[in-house]
Amino acid sequence: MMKKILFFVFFLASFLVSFAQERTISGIVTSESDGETIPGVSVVVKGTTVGAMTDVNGKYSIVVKSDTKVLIFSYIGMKTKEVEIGLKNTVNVALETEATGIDEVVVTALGIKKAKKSLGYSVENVGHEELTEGNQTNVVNALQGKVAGVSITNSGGAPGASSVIMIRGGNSLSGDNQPLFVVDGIPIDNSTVAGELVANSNRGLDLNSEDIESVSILKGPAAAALYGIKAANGAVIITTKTGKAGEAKISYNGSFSVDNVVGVPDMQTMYGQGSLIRHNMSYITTFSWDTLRLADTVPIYNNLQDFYQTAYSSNHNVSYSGGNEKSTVYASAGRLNNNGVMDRTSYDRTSFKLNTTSSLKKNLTIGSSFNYVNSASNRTRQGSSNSGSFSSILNYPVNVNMKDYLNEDGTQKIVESLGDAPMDNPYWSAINNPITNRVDRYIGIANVSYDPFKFLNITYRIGSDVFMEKNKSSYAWGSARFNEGYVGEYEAFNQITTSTLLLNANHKIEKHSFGLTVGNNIEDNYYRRTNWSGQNFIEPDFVGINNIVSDDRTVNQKITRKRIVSAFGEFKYDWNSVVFLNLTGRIDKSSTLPKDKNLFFYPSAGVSVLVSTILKNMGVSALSDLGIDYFKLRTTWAQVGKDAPPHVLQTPMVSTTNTYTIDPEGFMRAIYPTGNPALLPEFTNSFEVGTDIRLFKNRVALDFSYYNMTSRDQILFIRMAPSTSTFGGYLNAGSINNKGIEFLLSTKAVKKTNFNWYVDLNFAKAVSHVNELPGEIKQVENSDSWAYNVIAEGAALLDGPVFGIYGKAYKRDDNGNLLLDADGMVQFADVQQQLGDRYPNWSAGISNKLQYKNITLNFLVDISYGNDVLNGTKAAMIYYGLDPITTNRGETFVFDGLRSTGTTDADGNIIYEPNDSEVVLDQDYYQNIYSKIGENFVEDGSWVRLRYVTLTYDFPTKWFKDKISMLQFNVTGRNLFILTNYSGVDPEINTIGAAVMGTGSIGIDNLGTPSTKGIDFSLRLSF
Amino acid sequence: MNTIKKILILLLIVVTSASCNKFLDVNDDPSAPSDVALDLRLKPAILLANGAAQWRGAREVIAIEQYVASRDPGDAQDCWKFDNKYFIWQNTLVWTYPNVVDLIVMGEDENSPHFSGVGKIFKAYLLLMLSDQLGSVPYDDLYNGRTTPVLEPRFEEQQVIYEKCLADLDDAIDDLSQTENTIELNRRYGDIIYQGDTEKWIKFAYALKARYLNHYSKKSSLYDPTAVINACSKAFDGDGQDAEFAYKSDGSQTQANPFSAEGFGDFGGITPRYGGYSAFFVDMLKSSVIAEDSIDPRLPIIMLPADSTGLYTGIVSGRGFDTDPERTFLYDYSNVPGGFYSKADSPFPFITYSEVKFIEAEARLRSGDLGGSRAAFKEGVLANMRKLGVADTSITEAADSIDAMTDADFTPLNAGLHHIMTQKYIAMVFNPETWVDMRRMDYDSTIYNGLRHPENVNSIFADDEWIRAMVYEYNEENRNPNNIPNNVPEVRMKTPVWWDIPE
Repeated sequence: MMKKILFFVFFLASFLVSFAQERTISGIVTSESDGETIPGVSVVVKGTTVGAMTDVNGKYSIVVKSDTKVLIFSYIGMKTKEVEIGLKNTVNVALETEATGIDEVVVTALGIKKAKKSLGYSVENVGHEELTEGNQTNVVNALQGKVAGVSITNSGGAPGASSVIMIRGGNSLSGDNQPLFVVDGIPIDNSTVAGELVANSNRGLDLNSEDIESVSILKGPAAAALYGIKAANGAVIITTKTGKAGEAKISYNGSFSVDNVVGVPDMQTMYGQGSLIRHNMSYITTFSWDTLRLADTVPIYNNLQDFYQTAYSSNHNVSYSGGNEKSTVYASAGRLNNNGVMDRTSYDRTSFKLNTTSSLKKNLTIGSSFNYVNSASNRTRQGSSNSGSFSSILNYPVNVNMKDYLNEDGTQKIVESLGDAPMDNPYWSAINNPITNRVDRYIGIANVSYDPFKFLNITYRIGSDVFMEKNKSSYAWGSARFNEGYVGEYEAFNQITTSTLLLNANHKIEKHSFGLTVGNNIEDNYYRRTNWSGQNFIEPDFVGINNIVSDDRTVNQKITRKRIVSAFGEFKYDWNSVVFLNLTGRIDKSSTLPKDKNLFFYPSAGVSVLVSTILKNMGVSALSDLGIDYFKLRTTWAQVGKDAPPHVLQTPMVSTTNTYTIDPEGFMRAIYPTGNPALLPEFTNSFEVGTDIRLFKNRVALDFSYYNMTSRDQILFIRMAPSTSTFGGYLNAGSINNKGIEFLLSTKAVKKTNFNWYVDLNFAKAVSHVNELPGEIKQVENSDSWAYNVIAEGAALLDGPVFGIYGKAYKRDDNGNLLLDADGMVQFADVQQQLGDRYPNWSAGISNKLQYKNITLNFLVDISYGNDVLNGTKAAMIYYGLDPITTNRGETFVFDGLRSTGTTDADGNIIYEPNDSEVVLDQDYYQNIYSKIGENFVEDGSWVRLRYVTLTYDFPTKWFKDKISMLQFNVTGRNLFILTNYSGVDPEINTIGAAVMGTGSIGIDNLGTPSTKGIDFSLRLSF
Repeated sequence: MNTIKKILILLLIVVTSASCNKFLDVNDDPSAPSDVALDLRLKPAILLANGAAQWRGAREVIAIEQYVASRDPGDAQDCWKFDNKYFIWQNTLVWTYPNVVDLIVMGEDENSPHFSGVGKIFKAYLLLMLSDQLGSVPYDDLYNGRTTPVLEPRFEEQQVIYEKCLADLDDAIDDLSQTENTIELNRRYGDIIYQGDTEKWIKFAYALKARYLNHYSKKSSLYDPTAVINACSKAFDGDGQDAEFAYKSDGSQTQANPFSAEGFGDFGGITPRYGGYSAFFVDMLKSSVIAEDSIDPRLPIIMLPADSTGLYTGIVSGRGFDTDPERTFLYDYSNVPGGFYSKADSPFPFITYSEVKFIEAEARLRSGDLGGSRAAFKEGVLANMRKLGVADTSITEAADSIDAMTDADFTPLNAGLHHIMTQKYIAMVFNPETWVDMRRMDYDSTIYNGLRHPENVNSIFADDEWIRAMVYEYNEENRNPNNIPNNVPEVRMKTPVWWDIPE
């Protein structure tokens, strides 16, 4: 019916337009391959919306204006064809079968472009449009939900906060599990500065998505064999835009965004300031543990909700692209002002990019690219830090107005608390205790490509990613934490320089094609960070290290260096473009391993077979009868080696301790890591099998992969028993297995003249399992991921998950009965226990694109199922007496469990009996027991979210008489809708940030800035 | 194809060439030296033995000893509510022990036995302090600086630890007696205790020997008063020999005495670790039998009066600040910092001459030499008073009152022990050794007059039960579970260590 109406409308429209001078053109549309007629082909007059459709017999008839020159014929699964009609009135057309998607070219390791059909492994491509769709500042976030098997977790709603990206789970228990980032063939840094008290940025944030042409995700070691060590966790291969010959184009795009927090945790408003414990003599406390309900007349302040403000941000990008046959140029400038939902927090980025290519001779091309980025952040403290924004807000009972923070003399007004260290007021703190961070980054790349013979290409590429970071964290004079002021600064310098030489030879003998690539790679990493700090300003109003007497200043420096030299080769063979064989091998020599054992080799082998083509050539139509146009089988086995972190073969000597241990006044052995001069490289073996299927004239595409990889003898940082005289060190030990399935379903659900609907569904199920750990070790904890009051932390658990939760639990007997003390109160288990698994059982993303004429609607629905979250924020809120659960304070309760009789049997075991003792659920219970048992705060964090929805309108360019080639208007809503049972704000959380290695801190919610939702209005313009 | 093969071979040669090896030789830590000279290792080892190990072994134990008490009622330290977060273990074995062992190993390698000797003294000292608080500890499987570390060290019985550590002390004495020694102990001023005087180090070793042999007092078959007295006779024999060094009043927080307001022990500020000295200790100093007015002359030296009242007021262990409005706040009590042992530059002695004399007094008492016991006792008291700078008149007064004592005052055993242990207690403020004494004396209130269970004591302790040991650290429990003894706090804290079991 719809079709008919549309047709009628078009007919009417064309009729009206055609009053002046018009003629009718008709014809038949057939398929070139079999000559059969095609019904439903769209026929449109170029540059207009005038159109028609072929009938069941493939016939069409269209009334056009007399000056009409070109008709466009399009049909799903067929190549769109433009036909010059000249003076003809009958135009018969044969359409070719569309091959796009099958002949897709992807960028793989070292920037080598390969036909996707030849690959034995899974590669997913995200193009510029798709990448920029959700309007994400962080290029890592821009990939969220778009690639199967790639998990990306934000660390919260602070501007510029890091995001952690993992491909196919985690391979390493103590190392970085994030993939290698490569820009135009040169590895770049995507690290995050460690520190749980500030939302630091991942350095991938420096990349401006507007400069990116496409991103290829190489999953697992197979895809990355040629990148070696650093790509053991996969690789994100970024190709930036270059100029195009023949079309000079200036583009602008700008956006304006409005953001708010998704929400804040619920608070009780029944009880106000008060405390029985410690403060029994008065109401001088920051706790909300009063036992008397607030009178109705007492004003209630929504201190938490009110603290977060609406944030306004803007983003502007201008680019020029142009060139001729000989040379091309792309230049761009971008400026992002991203304001935070907290006063005085922001992330600003200014970037410039220049890409040039030049063909000196027919067979010699040189290219260069230069990128300068300045990132400037104003940050706030978070997490368990005693002056973290969130935790200081909890110091304000609902009957105390947090906004009232200044005394009449201009000094700070704080909530007094008898016998507790006072905390700064969050409003005062935002103004007076800033953390500023500035990064200046330079990425420069030069390359030469030379074809001395037809069969040989030589490419040399050298590039350097250099950044300097300055960070300043201060407390003003008058701060509660540092009464006379504090300043701590660091400056870091980071450099990765990579040189790559590639020789590429190809030869074809009849149906046999051979390819051989050999190369050499040299990589040099250098990092230096100098920290200095001090407290007690001489002159109260100046914040700086010189304003502190020299005795009160401390300074220290950390330098790391690492170099790798590699040789590698790849052999390719294909038979008649239907059977493909790939063999690779790589030798690495790393500076971080013992000198006599630092050379190691690892190979890979892959096969890809185009079954559909073979069957077709054999004349078997079994597949095409089923509607299968294309069927590829692929498999790859690969190994990848990994070296050690730098400088861990020998126990370092250190000359400082911590603030609560004596100054050694000289050198002592570092408390960790203990040196291990016998470290060997670690290896990961992976196996992958998959298919690519195209159905129904390419209307449906299905990619399926199964992978299984095992890392053995991991170079693992193991926390050791103190009796070993170290807290830990690197050992070759432990084994992890990762396996899973991924599929990607792309459909062109509707493809009509004026209406298209594309649906892409990606799904991944991954299991990361710890098979072995050394000795009696049952878990690899990550103490960087402790949640509030050390209730629990992230840990990899033996014979359990890599992304586990390990923490305090109730004391129970073997049958699971609660073991209560003699008073009938619950108790802590003696040792920590596994409490959950933070990695989802499965995840999926559904992206939709609906086009109607010039209007496009994109939306992405993202799903995560079965991921546990540790809600440290809730534990803190209970501790302070603000959580609604604490309103039953003072009630009595009989725990269902076994109560200690206080006597022991002959073996010294305590005798228990069924409990009938009442206990009071009071402040003592909530603060000292309930809020400290991690088990209470592990929740199912499954979610479904509308990650973004974008409405785009393309203005018809004819309105501008070709002076403007593109004008587009977008409205995007981000994170508008989350469906979850999680009791906190957002279960997609990683408060502690992307810096946490190994088991990481995804799924740990610990007093961070709540995540945000927002709307963007943007404009794109090209001329 | 030929060209390609050649290039490939060439590349492989490049990779493995010598220049490449040099290019890759960047794994020495650029942030710090990888080798530090032996003589420069001494000072950090001594500092850590004191400010990491002994300090951490005292932080909670001073509440058990009832030198100090907490601000809040029922606080864990006061009331023996300990769990597996007691960190003497890591402070001793991780922070300190390997630095001490390095002295032994490097001393052997560099023909400098004096360093080995000092290393062995601290090795024995650290392990026995640890064992005295916990019982079994590892010995053979600990870090030895030579062989690959053992991931899960085996624990050994305390009796064996004692034998091995006492042998270490004998070895230390041998090493320090060597005349052939390449690197001078105090080269570059690392010997902050004795400035290179090996004779004094030997006396330190004998002093420790005396202390540990005396721990056998409940073991009738092993206790040898003669051996104890003999060791005492070779230990310190005068003032100014105490094994200690001064912390710094002009340095950083981590260079100031941890019990001081300026130091790293969290004793300063408005929320100090403890509210003040305990009522038990203050009362002890106010009921002296060797001072005419019953006020021990050391009281105003050891502590400051309460800011608000000018009176010396202690906190009843486990009770916290009193609800009496006059005694509600921190300034109503004699706070810990600022006294003789708790100024920024106060030393925190390992062992003193005074202690040696009290050990001798106890051994002589047990051997029946009452006169000799009183003589040693007197010197123990007077040496401590001299050290604290007590006025000569008060010292004379004390000497006179001790001289007036007779055998009857030291009979029966507990009467003698009462005098000795009370004075030893006063002379050893904050030293974890006091807890050893209290357990050897079975917390007997006829010996320690006025000693009572803290208020709000952990309910697992019956009226006649006292805390006997500390709980091992959870890091050991989690990572070395097959070797660690039963660590359930209820069991652990009631299980006496080997020397605490009479036989």
